[in-house]
Amino acid sequence: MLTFLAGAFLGGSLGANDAANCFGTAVSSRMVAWRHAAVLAALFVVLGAVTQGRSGLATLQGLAQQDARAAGLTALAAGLTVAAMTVFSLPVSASQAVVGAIVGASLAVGGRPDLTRLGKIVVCWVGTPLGAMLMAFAIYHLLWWPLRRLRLSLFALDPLLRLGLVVCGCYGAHALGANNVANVASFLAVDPRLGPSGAILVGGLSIAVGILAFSRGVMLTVGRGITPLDPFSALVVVMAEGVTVHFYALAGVPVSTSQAIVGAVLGIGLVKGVQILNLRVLGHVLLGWVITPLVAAALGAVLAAGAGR
Amino acid sequence: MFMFLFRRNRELREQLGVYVEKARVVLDTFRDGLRHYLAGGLDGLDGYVQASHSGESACDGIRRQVERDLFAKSLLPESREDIMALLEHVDPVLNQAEDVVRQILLQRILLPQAFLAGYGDLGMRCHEAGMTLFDQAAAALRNDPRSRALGDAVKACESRIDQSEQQLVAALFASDLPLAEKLHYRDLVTMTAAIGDLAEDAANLLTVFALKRDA
Repeated sequence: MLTFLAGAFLGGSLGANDAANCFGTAVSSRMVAWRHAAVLAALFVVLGAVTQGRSGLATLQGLAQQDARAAGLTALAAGLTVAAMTVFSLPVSASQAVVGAIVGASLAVGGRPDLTRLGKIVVCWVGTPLGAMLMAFAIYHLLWWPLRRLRLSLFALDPLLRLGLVVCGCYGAHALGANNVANVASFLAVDPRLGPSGAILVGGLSIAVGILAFSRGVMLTVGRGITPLDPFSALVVVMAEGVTVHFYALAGVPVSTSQAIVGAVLGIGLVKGVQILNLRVLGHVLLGWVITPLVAAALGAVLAAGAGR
Repeated sequence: MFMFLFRRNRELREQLGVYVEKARVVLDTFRDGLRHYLAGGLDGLDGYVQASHSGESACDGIRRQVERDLFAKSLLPESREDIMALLEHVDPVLNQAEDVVRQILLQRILLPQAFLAGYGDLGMRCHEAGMTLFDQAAAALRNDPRSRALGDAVKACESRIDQSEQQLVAALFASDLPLAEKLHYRDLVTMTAAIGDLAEDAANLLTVFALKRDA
């Protein structure tokens, strides 16, 4: 029961925080209503989880050996870390929290995490913002040139951009589900009654509930806090983030959608040749990325060590 | 399948097209009113005042309807704000044109013969600035690249209006007219030249409007 509740709590926290990466720019700039974004994100997260969430699950399950109790405590540690960051309306990587918690809990009880697998995960974490940056740069140029040639009036362009934001947001939510459900399902899957498929479904649903119930505040903050984007740039950012995260979902490594978003925004900055990031907020985001795995590891170690006594 | 997205905006585009056309009519009425005044004085000018007022009121009605409809369409917030700003900047041009003709009649301003040609020149340049502005507005709404060149044309008109205004005011104060009359006629000249200033402000806004969609 602890494992189930902790996993669901983690899923809810993840959904509340990460949905902003799919629809945050559109919602905060009033291009899409929050309630529409939340419903679509919830639907597509579950779809992505169920159809393409298995690869990441295998990676996390192989990171360290965990029984049901350990999994529950680790999920609790990761969930508390994500929830704390969400309370402060900071984008946080649930993937980093989960990996940090798993590694910390494993080390606290004398276990040996798979360092090769851990190394692969860390390399992918570094590659996420870089890849998203390059992807945004490329997508911007690919799309801007034909749009500029067509010279659509705002009466034609605006509906297209709005539709594009909705479609890309749904794709981003699908990628989020496909990539991040492993963060939740890796704990739930220790329950033999669920198994991998059940764990993925429950994980996806818990993320969806988090989106529907708690994502509004973060969606409004993420879009406004980091940088003001014009509608076309917002579309490119979300598209780049979705493609990058989906790529890593297929590679079987849970990565941070928040890091992908920031990388994509940097890519837009490269295109425009200007500094368009709110550096203070960016600083907070980067601090969160450093603190998150460390705090989660510490919490995981404390909980695992305390339970061990 | 997605044509409904564009249908919602078509009405708005048509409304704005009607607004621009009615605005042209208001300026043409201003021009015709000035010509009548320059040729025949104040008699019959009230017809032009009423026509100008009716035209300007019709434009106001369309503007209010557009503002109401803006939020029901599928334009992005930034585009809605741009269109609101466009209407807010164009409307004063029409108000000023209507006001000039009305004040000529209300204050019974009888400009001396020596200044009629200069004033007529000023008035026609203001008309040209306004009409070029409306061409620019129509082009900007179509995302036509000529919008920026038209903006430059409005600014060029405004420069010529400034010159005309200065020459006329200098001529007024160099004349033997009593000071009170000089000041009275100067106010008319300044009020008329303000049409050019307002047109230039609106043109600057439209240039930014076009640049945003080019960037």
